[in-house]
Amino acid sequence: MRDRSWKAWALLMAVAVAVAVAVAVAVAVALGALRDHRLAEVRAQLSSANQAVQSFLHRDRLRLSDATARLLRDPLVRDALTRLLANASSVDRFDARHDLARAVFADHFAGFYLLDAAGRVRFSMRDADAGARSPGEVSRALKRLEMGDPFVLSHPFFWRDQLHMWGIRAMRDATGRIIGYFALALGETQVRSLVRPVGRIGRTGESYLVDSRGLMLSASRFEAELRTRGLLGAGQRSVLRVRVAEPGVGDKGQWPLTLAVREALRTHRAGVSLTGYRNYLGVPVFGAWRWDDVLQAAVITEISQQEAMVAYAKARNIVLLMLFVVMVGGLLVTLGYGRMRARAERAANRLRNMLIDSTAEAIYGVDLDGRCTFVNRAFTNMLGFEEHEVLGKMVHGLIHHSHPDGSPYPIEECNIYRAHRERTRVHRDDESFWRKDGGEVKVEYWSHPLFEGNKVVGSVVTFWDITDKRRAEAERARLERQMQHAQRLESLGVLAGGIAHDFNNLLAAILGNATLVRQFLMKDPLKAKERVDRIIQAVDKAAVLCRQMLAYSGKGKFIVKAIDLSRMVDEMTHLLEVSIDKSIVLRYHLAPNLPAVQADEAQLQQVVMNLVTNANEAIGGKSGVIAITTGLMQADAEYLAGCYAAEGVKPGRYAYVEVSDTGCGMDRATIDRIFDPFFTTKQTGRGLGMSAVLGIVRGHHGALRVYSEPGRGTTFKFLLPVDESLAPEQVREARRELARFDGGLVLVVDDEETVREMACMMLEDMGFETIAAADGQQALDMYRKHRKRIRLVLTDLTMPHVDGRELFMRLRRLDPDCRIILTSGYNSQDAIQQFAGKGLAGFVQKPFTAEALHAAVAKVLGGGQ
Amino acid sequence: MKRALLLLCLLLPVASWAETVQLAGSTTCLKIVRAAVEEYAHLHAGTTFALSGGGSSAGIARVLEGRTHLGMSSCEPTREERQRLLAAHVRILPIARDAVVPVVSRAVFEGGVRHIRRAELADIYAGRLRNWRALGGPDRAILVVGKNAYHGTQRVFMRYLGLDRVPERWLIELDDDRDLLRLLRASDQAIGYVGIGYLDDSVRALALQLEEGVVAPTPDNIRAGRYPLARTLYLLVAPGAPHEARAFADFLRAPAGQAIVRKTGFVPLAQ
Ligand SMILES: Nc1ncnc2c1ncn2[C@@H]1O[C@H](COP(=O)(O)OP(=O)(O)OP(=O)(O)O)[C@@H](O)[C@H]1O
Ligand SMILES: [Mg+2]
Repeated sequence: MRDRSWKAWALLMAVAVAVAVAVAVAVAVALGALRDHRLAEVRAQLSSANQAVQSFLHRDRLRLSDATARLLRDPLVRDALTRLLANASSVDRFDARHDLARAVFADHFAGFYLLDAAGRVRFSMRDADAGARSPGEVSRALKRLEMGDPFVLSHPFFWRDQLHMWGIRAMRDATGRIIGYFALALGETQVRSLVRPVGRIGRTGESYLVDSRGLMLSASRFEAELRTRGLLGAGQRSVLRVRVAEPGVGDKGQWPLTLAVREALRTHRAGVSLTGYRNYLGVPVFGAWRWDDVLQAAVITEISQQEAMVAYAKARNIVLLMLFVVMVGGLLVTLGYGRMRARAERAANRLRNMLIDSTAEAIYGVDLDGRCTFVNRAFTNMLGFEEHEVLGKMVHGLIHHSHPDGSPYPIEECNIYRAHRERTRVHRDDESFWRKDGGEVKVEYWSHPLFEGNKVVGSVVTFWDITDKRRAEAERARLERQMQHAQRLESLGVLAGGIAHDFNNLLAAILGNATLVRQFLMKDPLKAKERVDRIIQAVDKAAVLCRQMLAYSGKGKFIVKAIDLSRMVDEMTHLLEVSIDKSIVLRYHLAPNLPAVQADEAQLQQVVMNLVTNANEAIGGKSGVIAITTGLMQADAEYLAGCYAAEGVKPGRYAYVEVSDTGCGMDRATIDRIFDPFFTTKQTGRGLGMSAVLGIVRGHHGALRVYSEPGRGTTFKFLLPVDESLAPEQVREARRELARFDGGLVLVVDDEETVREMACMMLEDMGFETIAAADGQQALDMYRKHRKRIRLVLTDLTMPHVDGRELFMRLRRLDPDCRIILTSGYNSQDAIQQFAGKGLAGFVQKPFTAEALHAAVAKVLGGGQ
Repeated sequence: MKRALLLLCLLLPVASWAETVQLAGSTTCLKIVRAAVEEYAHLHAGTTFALSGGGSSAGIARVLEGRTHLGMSSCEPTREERQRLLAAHVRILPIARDAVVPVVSRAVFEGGVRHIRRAELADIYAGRLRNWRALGGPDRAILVVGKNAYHGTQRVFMRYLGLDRVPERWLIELDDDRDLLRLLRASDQAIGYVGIGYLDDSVRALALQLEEGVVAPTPDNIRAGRYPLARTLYLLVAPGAPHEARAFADFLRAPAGQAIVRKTGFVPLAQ
């Protein structure tokens, strides 16, 4: 889990770094663009200023040129000047000076000079100038005029301690020969401000002119600065006194000229430097330069880099500041978020750990290698290990190394690791963990695979100590065994008590008879034999009693063989009859040809015995009926679901025995408990009968059904699966043909329709026609109707309204020759006894088979073979 | 309230951008004003100025016509002008004292002419006196330079000399004090007059020889009224002048402005 949060954190950091890098790159690009943009602006500014300076200079030059031309065009001036060139009087000179001064100074010039062809001053504002040689700079200008230039603007020059700059025009005579030169002078302030105003950009930008020697021809904007740096003497002006060179060490005259000047002088072309260089003050500047051929000077425009880029720097600083703020903010937010998450995670972890530590179950995790990834407190408490002693270790070897019997438990077989090996949940409660001190802890554990997505990453194991539980279970089992033993002893005691009486009777009978045998043995051997038979009978009964006792004790032999339930019940009739009160009638409805079931006959007899005993006791000495019915049925799942002991019993064909009584019945609560051992509602009851029944039925894979209504009676029905391997034979046997009679009508009387129908079918099979009646009265009516044709009447003994006995009587009265066969569930002897000597034709014990009926009919009618 | 603020915010830059204070008139005054504007612009970025000369008469006329915010005058308005100005609710604010100083080429001064009488000056400007020798100077013709008639300086000077019209022939009339100075500098025989503010060492000022003695154009003399060729420089504030114009006028009269007055060569008002 920590691992995952680390991954998430690392991912977050990676994203953050990527974002930061992206932002930084974007900002760098933006700043670069901004810088380029600013540089382009600076370039444009410098170039245009530089160009403007040049054009302003030309304009000034043109103004001078025009002014000289204008003056010289004036014929009066021209005449005067021409006269002055040839010697003129002082009055003329004053007048000429007066006139020229008016024109020249009104035009803001600082003076005028008339030079002769040789370059000497002939006339100016002062007479004193006359005859003076013109300065070197002027001579150079005059040479250009001689070469044919109409007008030349000189460079500034010092003359008579004054800064001069002249615009000079040649005066030619009619032949074109130069007769003299006329110059207009610019004043010192004019010279100094020649380029300054136009060339100024911002605080540090300036333009200036430099001659081919590298001397500054116009005034520097930074004269004060130059002075403080010692590059200019106090009171000195910069024109012609500043060499435009990068300040360095050593001789001022040897310092290299600034880049702009070098380039301008070298290339004589316009250029711009945006990489920057140091100007004559040593300040890093951007610069533009050009060479002016007319002025014979370089025009330089420069601005300090710092100022040029101040806008950019401002923008850059703002952007960087913003970036910084954003970054720091982002970092803080990220950190804050991280810390918050960590805190939340810690809190969640604490809660989780608390939960895990607080459970009673011990919990630990293993990874795919089987190494311990975590344990909780219950684990350490239970097994005595410290957390650090198991974390990262192979857990199996520490706590699960041996089976409970002490044999080694190889790790390959470890059931716990099956969880992640087989991706399944493992639950065991038969293994042991081993404490650090070697003690055994019997545990019940669950091992669950741990999934991360679809991948198994290990298992989590929860277990608890079931040593105490196991001990308690063992103790309980022992107690139970003891109790059962005691109970069995007790019940055997009770049983013995009950049976002792019977046994005693039997023993008494045996003893009595044996005594008589001894008396009669010699005197009357026949009588002795009779007594011996009685003894044998009693011993038989005793044997049965023994069997029953053995069944109770569960130690009886279990001898399985194919059994026909009807036959079995049939064989038990005698035993049953002696077991019930005389006031109770036993009725049998035994299905013929029942398919065999595989069972222990003695046990099944025990079941029937117990059911009948209970039925007898339920009727409780009053008169009543116990009916025992056998049959075959198809039991489906639904039917079986309503049965006891039917777990795992499959639908199919079942043979059954049903014992129903007209006794007291049971309420629901009682039914629920009858199979509990020792549950009884009787004073002398042992409460083992029904539990034995259930045990036996269950042991035969049968099922048991109970139906009871309080006050009406109870029906128990147990089903046993038909042994289908024996079935076909039985069917074939059932098909065996019986001999037919030669016709006639038989009246069948029975209140039970199924019996009536069955009897009719059987008789028709024998070759008779049949008519049926549901009771005695109906039978009489029918007899009267069909008396001619009726050969035989088959009637049940117990019927409502007019019962079998009364019907017999009335039929006899009606027709003394009437042949009547009685059927009854009652013992034939009991039933027939009542009709002895009254002309009863025959008796068939119910339930009857076709053979039995055939035999009875044959006996009455004779024939039928 | 909010809306008003918003409106203000919208208007402020427009107002400060749009407001250009217009000044016109005396070129003498202009010298002070130029320097003052430079300094004022440092203190109040956003206020821009449009300066033009034209002379004192033009300054007065333009204020009256409402064609400038501030008029400059370098001479006492005539009574008639004063009445018209007051009627138009123009405020007449003295900003400095000035003196008109007769100046000569350095060669003349060094040739011995250091001071001059009123009558001599009048003779020179009337064309009656034409060589410096008569004044004890070098033997050179006098090149007489004056200023055009619409300049306050000229009016002050001529009124002092008691001259009305000067025959053109004797006089080189120039418009700008600086041209005049340039001429005097280039020449070794010229005389002219300038406002004291224009004085520099390229020319020499002449003291006046009065009855009570020679009076040099020193600040003390000028302020004290001992120097006769003195005048007061005025700023004329038009009634509809914007706030900035008034502020500028006040600035000129405040100590900071008076310092500029001194720096530019004029004489501050008596405190
Ligand atoms: N046919 C029945 N009619 C009514 N109640 C019955 C019937 N069969 C069983 N019981 C009830 O079920 C109880 C349990 O019967 P069970 O045969 O197990 O014990 P018991 O008959 O009381 O004693 P014993 O061990 O001697 O048979 C009876 O006490 C009785 O209340
Ligand atoms: Mg019982």
